[in-house]
Amino acid sequence: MDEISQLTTYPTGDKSDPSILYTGLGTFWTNVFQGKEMLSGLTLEQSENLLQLYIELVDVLNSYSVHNIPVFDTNKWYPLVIYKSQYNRVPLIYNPDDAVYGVQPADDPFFQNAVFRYGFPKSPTTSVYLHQPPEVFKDFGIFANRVIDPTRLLVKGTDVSWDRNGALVFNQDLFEDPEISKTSVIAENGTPVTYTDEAGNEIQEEFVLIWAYNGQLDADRIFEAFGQIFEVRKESSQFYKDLLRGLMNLSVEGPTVAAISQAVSGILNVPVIRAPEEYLQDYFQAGGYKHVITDKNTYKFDQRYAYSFDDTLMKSQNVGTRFLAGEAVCNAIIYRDNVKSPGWWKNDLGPFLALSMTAFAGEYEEQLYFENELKLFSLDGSGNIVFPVLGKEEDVATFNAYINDPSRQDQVKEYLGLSSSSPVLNLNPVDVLFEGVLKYNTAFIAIQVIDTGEFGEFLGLFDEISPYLPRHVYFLTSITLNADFEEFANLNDTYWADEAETDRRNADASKTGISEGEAVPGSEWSDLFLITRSPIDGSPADPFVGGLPLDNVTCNSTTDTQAEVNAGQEAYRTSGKVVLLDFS
Amino acid sequence: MATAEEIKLELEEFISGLAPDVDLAPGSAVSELVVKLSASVQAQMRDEIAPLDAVGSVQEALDSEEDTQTETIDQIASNYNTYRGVGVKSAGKIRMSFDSDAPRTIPEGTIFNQPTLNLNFITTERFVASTTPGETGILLFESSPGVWSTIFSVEAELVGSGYQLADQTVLVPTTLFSGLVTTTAYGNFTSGVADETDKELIGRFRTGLSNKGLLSPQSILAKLRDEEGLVVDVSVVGANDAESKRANNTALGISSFGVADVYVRSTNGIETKTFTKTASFSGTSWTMSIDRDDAPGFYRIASIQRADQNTSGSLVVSSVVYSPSVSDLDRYNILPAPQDVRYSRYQSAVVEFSDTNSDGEEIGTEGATGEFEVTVSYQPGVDTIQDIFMIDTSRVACADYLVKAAIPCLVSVENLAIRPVFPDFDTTELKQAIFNYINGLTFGDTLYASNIIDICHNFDIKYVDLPLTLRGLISPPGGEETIELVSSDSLAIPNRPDLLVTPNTTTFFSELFVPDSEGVTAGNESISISLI
Repeated sequence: MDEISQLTTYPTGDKSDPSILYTGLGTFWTNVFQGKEMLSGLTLEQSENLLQLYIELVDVLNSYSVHNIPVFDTNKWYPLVIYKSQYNRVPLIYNPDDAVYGVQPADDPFFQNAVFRYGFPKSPTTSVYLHQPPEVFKDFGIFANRVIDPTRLLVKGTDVSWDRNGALVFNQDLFEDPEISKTSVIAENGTPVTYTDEAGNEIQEEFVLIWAYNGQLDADRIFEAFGQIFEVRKESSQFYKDLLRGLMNLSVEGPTVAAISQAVSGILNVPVIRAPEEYLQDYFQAGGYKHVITDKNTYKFDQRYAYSFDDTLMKSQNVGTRFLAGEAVCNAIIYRDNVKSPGWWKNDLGPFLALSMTAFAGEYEEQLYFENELKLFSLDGSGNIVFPVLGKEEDVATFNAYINDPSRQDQVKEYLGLSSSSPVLNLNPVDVLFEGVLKYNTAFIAIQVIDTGEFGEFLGLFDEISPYLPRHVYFLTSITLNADFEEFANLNDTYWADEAETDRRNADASKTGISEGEAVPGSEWSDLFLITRSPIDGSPADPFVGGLPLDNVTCNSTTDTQAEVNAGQEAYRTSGKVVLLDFS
Repeated sequence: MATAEEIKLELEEFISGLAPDVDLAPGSAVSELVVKLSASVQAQMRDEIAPLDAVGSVQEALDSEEDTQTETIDQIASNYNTYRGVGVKSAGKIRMSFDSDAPRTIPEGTIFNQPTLNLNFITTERFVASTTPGETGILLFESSPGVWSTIFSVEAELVGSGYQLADQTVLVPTTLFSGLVTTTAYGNFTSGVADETDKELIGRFRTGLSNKGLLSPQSILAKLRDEEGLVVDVSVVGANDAESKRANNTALGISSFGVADVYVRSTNGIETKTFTKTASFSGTSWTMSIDRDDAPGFYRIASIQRADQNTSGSLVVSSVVYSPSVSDLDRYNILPAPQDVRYSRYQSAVVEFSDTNSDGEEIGTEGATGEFEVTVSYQPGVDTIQDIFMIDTSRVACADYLVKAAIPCLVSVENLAIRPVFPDFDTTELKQAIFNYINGLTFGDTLYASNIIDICHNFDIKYVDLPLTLRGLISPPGGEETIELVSSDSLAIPNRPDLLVTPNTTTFFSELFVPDSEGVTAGNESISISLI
């Protein structure tokens, strides 16, 4: 009881102190008047109301700032009314890894062996009690049966918790709890309201009222204040807020490296250094997250990401590491350009560089691929340069014809160092391109994602960044799907939508392997990405199989840089690794 | 925020918590005199906070079914350095022709009505026309045998883009002028703009808060639109776009990048400009040069007329050859291909045309010169915007940004048959609404017939008889054959990066009247509506 009493006090001034409000009424009302308890309750509520008004005013004022806007509105005491007719009957919502068709698995925590039916609510088969609160109610501190002197507290995480569909899971039947008062529902005409239960019995409708302390209510505040500006709509969450902060920062500051990194990190839900300069103090792993503590901020990220520094070293060797604003504290994002990391392509690019056909002078049908290792450059019997490039045969011929045009052949030979006296050279084709043409106007963003859902989420949101990037700079993007093994079964001939919309696009939005050359006007991918499937297994001309309906996809990320692609498989190369998708 | 009912519940909870015996049942004295009253007062206090809530105000404006213009949104917009755009009236010149050379006075406030569209245009000053105008009058000249004409300025009665008249559009004065032969628009009118609504203003928050520079598409839009007021919309194509090939001509044939093309829509509608040029006669035709500064990046030649005759219609243009012009410029963009020049401020043209008499004989002798009035359609400001990308105080280091007028897709809506509720339905406002919808589309948008039908149902219309026909005409900048789009459902800009025609470069325009092959626009309306 003492604990709850403290909850109703707050550090505000005399004007909202309930005891002062009460005593301010005068001695007649506080000592003589027979209804003085009623007055005491009234003044207590009024002081609570003043506090609630203050909270709401602060929420309103904070909503003007993307940095301070509350994710949810706070209601100090939120009344949650639970009707018996709706108690323990929650809507059936199919989420990934949630309900399955037919009988629910025996190891399901709440619904083992239950059979769900469309259009009917579901009831747990174990000793828990579910209630679907109003959509607006998102979180709470504790539930109490009364505001004043409560005799029953329901603690979040112990007595009550959330399930993945937003339902409250109680560990006891509230309608059987003698400490929680029940009220019969009476219609306006004075007759009792009844309902029919699943067994067909007519039951008197009742409700219980419990009070949520510090109820968190979703007023869609983040979207209305900032999300609609960027036309990005997501459920209210800290992640959504961070994402919008990143976009806002990118918009206001312009495309600085730090702002780009922050925006990308907002999409990936991983942190980047916020202060201009921070020094590592500590780092550890707990609760499914890795934590990084600097002298100015603390950061946490999914434990499946690695630290951006070498955590195999002694901790004392890493402590004191200097971070600059925009740098990631995990390995989810890598940004490279020639100013930051001269020659970055030698270490970060992976074994191939795929360039869109639109990056070339002349008519090309598909992308060209350049290997990022020493290859043989030579002059043929006619003295023409043979540039080691992979791709469609006609495109390779077009490329070599261009560089061997008499107007420029000598210039290219001189640049490469080829001559009749030195007709063969070992050079890195990617290095040749970067040193000769690309390095000053090309930036590289490498992303690691840890599951396919996040992959799709990232690709869907990355388009929001595009309008803020300089258009005269070429952005090479590499996405590594870092999932060890995922299996999606019983897909009923439907493709995993995120990948269908993304993996198959080239930088020019054509869909290699499915409908080559078919352009996609207005595609969000036409502007920014070079997402490509690159040559596998020495068959660069036609390495891909695609467009097959599938019932089962196995996404298997390997560390191999070469893999054999069989019929019924698609191969994706992400930062040197090969991902095989099996179609069956 | 809590509702009055929730506050009442809370009051009851607190009172019953400390005074369990108090009767709080509905109708009791405490409930009626204390609880309800107090709940009402507290709810009122919370309502006082509501107007401060920017979130609520924006939500309300966005949810509104009607166009609103509220002060709260103005104040919120100021946080984003964004201010409501006030409307602009269309303006232009009209030509009145009379059957004699008697001096004429056109009083201030004279109203000219376009009968088909029912639009009014008004003189904002008094004009006195005579054959000897002096310094204060305007010229009354013989435009054809027995017909004397004068040209003066008018502006639209109201703000809005629907008032943009096309050249040669017929007008009728609402006051009597003796001896009047015809009254027509002289050149296209400027495009007006309606007062900005809350929804439109909120839509600009994004660019309002954006960095205003030339480094990204968003900041370019913010600078050119919100800061300089030079454009309606901008599309930037660059390193990762198929349309950008200006930097591909390196020794290795791989783009060096570092370049971008900025396509601008500076006004909602296409405008015209008239200027005088000297042409010379050689062989069998006249030839004149249109310099890069005459009408930078112009779309097409609408008409050529003898400067001293002011006849209607146009002389016959036989060829227009476009070429780059960079002489005397101390800095300019790289322009490797002809299609890079077209619609840019570097565009100049050599025009060949003929001037024949009534017998079809060419008027002109070898080496003769003559003054001609040329009217072209264009997007104003291409040169000004290009300068912003070139001067050291604003340009991005090492970046080559070429500014071009948006490639136009001229739209006409045909076979739109409606059944009005009342038989005397006036289609004027409906045409303007459709016109505004088309000219309000931005880069990347698709023109949907369903949206036009939606617009129809904002009026007193029972039903729309389908199908209607949408027609679009695109002139690729490389001089290739025009691309015609026809559909009953929607028009989408085709993806032809080889022709530089893509949704990133091309956008929809509608003029009130469809120009014919000679650029004369007095004929067919671009939005034709029939009542059934």
